[in-house]
Amino acid sequence: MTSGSINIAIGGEAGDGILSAGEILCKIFFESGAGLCTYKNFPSRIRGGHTSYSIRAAGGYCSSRSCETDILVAFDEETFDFHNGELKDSSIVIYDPAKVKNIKKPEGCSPTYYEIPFAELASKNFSKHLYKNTVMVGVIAAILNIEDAHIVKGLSALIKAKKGEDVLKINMSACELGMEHYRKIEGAKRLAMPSGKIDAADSLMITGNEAVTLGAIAGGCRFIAAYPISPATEIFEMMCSELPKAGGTAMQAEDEIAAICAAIGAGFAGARSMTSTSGPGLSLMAEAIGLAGCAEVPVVIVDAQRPGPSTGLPTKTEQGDLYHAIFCSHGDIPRIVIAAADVGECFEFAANAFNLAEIYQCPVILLTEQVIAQNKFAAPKFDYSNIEINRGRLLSEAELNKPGYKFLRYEFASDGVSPRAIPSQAGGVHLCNGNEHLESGRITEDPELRRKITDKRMKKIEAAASSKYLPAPKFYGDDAARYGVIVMGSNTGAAVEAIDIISAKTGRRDFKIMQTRSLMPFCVEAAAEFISKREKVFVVENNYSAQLCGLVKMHIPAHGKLVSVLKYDGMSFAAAEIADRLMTEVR
Amino acid sequence: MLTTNELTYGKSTWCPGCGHYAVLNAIQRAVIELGLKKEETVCVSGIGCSSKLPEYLDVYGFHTMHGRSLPHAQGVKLANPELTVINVGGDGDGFAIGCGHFVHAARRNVDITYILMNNQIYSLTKGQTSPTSDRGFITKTSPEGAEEAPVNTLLMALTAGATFVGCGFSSEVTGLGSLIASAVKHKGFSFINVMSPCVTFNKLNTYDSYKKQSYKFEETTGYDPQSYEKAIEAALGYFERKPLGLLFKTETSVFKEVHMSEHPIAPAMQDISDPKKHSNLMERYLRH
Ligand SMILES: Cc1ncc(C[n+]2csc(CCOP(=O)(O)OP(=O)(O)O)c2C)c(N)n1
Ligand code: SF4
Repeated sequence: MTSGSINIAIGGEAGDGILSAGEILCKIFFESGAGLCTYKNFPSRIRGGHTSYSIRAAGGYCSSRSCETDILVAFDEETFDFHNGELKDSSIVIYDPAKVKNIKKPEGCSPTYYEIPFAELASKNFSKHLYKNTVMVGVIAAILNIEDAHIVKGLSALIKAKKGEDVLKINMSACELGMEHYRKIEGAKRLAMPSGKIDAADSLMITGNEAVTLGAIAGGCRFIAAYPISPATEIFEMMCSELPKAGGTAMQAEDEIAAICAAIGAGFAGARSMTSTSGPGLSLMAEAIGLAGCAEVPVVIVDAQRPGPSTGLPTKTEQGDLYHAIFCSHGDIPRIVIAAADVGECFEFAANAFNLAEIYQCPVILLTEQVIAQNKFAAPKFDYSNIEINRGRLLSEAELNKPGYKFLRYEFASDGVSPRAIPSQAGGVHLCNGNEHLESGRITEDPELRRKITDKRMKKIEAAASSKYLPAPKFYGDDAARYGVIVMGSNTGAAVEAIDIISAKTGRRDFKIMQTRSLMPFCVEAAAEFISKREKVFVVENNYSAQLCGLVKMHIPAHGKLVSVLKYDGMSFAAAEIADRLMTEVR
Repeated sequence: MLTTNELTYGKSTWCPGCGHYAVLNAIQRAVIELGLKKEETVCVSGIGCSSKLPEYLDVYGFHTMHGRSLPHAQGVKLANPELTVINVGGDGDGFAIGCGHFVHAARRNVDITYILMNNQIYSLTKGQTSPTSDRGFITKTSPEGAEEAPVNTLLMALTAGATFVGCGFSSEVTGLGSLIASAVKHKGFSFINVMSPCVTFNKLNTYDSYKKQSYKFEETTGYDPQSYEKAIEAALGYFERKPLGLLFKTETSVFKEVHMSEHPIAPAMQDISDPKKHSNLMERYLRH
């Protein structure tokens, strides 16, 4: 749990170097032992437009943004429009007079303002205004009294490797200049870093996309085909450089249809294979997901969700692809849909997705969201020893050729999971088929066999429901709680903090949370029990149409108890926001 | 050595006289000629009468979805380059819904063979106009005659960068068999346009009409399959005179060739049993 946090927001024009300054600060905080998460708010274009980088440094691991800002850095006037609502009396605002002529003050609170000419200081001392961001880093380090050793480590970790010793030296001096400048201001306010610490030696700082990539490679993925799309692109980019080193292959497809089809081809050929995309790509993949379901080919699809419909908001966040992930493609197919809440789950679920895909021989969709995919989080180190590789009923050549054994690719197995062979294996020659087929795989239109093979395929979902590789729901809070909160994905962390905020305010622990981690198959029994024990259950999610709530209703006849708490403005929920909404609901 | 019989699965449902029989037979001949093993050969198809071919061929097969066979076939080959991958399908499948994939498969140059069974009509859906239908061709969906210019598949293959381009005819099974064999042997993306008449729905483009229109390209003076210009010229004339045989062949780098030489074990054959082997990837995210 977090013990207090310091929130920093840096705002300016896109291309101002704000993102790299933010990264340096993250690294410094991480080195100093703070738990942290970032919240980048940037437009979908390369230059221009207001950008902001928020960092929450906490006394423990944290996974949701704050809606308060303790230190606001304004490189432009627009910053005030975006962040004034987050300020409070204790906040410090520092701004560069070069671009900020008029200070728009917030209503209802009076923060402390310091004018600091970052750009001027930088160009005077280092002949480049480029270093204004490092001067700013120094100012923040001075406000927070951060130890020099951590600053040096943080700076060198990012700069030395990329730009060399000389550039590092200039950056160090720029940082010192910022610190000195602030210290010279008479009576300048200081803020304290949160007292708690994470075990930094046992932690990492990583984005969800990076965590997915690590999980996929550890989980045995050896083929990816994808088409670039925000906010999933980084998975494919990193796979392109890392997968070949692990003996795998990456192919940039001409579109998402080709991407998933190539992945399905590779899955049929025996490689653990995947594609990564976002909503528009998932829409294009619908027909092929049906093929993988019908032909029973293992394939993993990672959907880093962004707000739709259509192109929507490419750089913002939402949970609006749930229905599409669960229902897309015509006809009835077995599929598995899981949703990760944080970077730890991104890693673990990505690895296990390949077990699920191979064991149940079906498409597996892993849902993440822009807010987890592209932001950085401090988290416990990933546990590689926890990952198992289970290839299900993939037969060996010896098994295929056992005397008396007749291999039937789509054999009517009792749990629906038929034996599988891959090209190159003697004795396993078969036809993989998206047309309705016999146990052999050859095409059929026989009504009785059609019914039987549909039953066989769909039975796999029942089997998957009790798989140890399928993430079971997680619960937070007291069992005696009157109210329930159902969440998925990134809202988990915010909801957990929200119930702490509520109990701090009310002195009662009235809420228990259920995080649904597998959406298909859905954890019906656990959810039914959870709901039955509560007076009211709030389903908190980021979309307009209350998709998670709809899913619960589809399975459980307790509709009167369900209340939706929705947000679809492209931003993620902050804990305080959820707390407010819940308290208003139960008032 | 395998026989045609051993390479045949079940009984086909094609109409008697359908051009597609000859393509099946020619593929079987090529497999036999090359001494390929059943388990090392994969036949991938889309949807259409033509795409039913893998149903009747007893090697590993994948009957995928309409228009998307090429991406699947490339995925199979990239996952396991040891396999011989033959992709088959019709003109609707490959040049209407799947046309985008064709261009990219050609320029990507994955080492697979694509055999287009071109009957200039949609047959499985019972007779609509196709992107290769001749202008003026009357079908159920072109009652006034097809208005669009037909796709010149050979020309498109050449301009998109296919490294092996040939043309065959269902009446010439022997020639087609050896053309397919050389296409399979070729390193890179090989494309063969086969005139494969639909005797049920296309009464315009028939065995007879194709016979009258076609000529052996190898027998033309100065035949040189290395010459791109000559191949382009022959392809340009395709709608009037159909050049049979190998039009063009060149060797350039095959997709992922360098990677494959550095990693002789195919992605599909990698030992993935030890996830810990990859924990070094986590290091860059740890504390300095
Ligand atoms: C997405 C999709 N759209 C349409 C169809 C219907 N369809 C099946 S085969 C076909 C065309 C077949 O023509 P062609 O590919 O030329 O093969 P042929 O039957 O002539 O051998 C069509 C339109 C389909 N199966 N899938
Ligand atoms: S309809 Fe035409 S293409 Fe289809 S099987 Fe009959 S002859 Fe062949």
